[in-house]
Amino acid sequence: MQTDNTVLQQRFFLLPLHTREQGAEPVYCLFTQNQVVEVLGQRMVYPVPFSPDYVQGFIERDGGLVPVIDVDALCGGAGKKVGLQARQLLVMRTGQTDTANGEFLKLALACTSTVLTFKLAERDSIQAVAPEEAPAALASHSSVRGFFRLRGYLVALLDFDTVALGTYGVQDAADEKNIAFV
Amino acid sequence: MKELLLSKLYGYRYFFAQDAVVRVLAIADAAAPIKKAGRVWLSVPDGGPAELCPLHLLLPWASQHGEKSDHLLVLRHEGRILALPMRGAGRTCMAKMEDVQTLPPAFTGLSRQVVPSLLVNGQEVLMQLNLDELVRAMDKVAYLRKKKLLSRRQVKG
Repeated sequence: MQTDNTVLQQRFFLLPLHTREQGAEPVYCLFTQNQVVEVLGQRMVYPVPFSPDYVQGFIERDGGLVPVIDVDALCGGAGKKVGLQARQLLVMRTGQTDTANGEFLKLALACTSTVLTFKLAERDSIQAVAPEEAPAALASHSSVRGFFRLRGYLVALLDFDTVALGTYGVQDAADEKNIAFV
Repeated sequence: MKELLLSKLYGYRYFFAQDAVVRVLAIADAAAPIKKAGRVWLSVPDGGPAELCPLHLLLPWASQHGEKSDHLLVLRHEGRILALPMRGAGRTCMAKMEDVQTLPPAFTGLSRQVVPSLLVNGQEVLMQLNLDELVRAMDKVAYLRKKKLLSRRQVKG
């Protein structure tokens, strides 16, 4: 009986988000083990001029380039400025593929705080999830897909596919800002 | 195979086609700059006047970067001579241009135009700076300076 539980256990990763709301309950971005490729320590991030605000640069990984995303900036949060040296980088695969090589597009999410991780038996995970109302700071955000309470944590599901594809909605505004700067 | 010059600009390595390079000179050897109509000109020995590129205004991380530029990379592009401040004298290398990569799709808009290609050399990444875009940005900065639309601090860099 114990073997069944072990086989069906699923690992979850929680990335802390820093929202603009003062004194609000902490919100975490949820990832399953299928989405997470690896969690990296500090690493050289190459910045690129005139990138969108939420793209910090890229890292080199296995000869390829992975964009580094500031999730707080993506969510319009006023959290700590991550700068070019994040504490950890959570490398995730999105649901979109690279047209050049057919591989899943990856993103490295910059983390100012340590990524939390826990395991949950698959049969328990459905009961452990309860829908929650979105915090005001994130309620109308285009990439947010839902809010849940999981193991006591307030977690958000975010859609990173549009970010990886470069079709994320706020791009026009970022371009205007860049052009105005030059 | 193509001969490239690798230069360190505000902490990161960029590559330029060797045939665009006029020369590399130490900042200490350059003549005093002349400011005119929002542009800064330097007299390059045996090369005439070169326009100093205000890279510190175009690379947002330049102000946080500790290393001081000690050389000038003098480039020729579309009949113009540009001087880019860089760290160290740079080095030449040969590279297969079939190996160049482009930025991932998450980089949108101007970033893709400014850095059109990259080379991965082991764990080091070398970026290409699009000189067309650089010249366009320099012209915009010169216009803003002339119209006094850039702050004094920004202009001084």
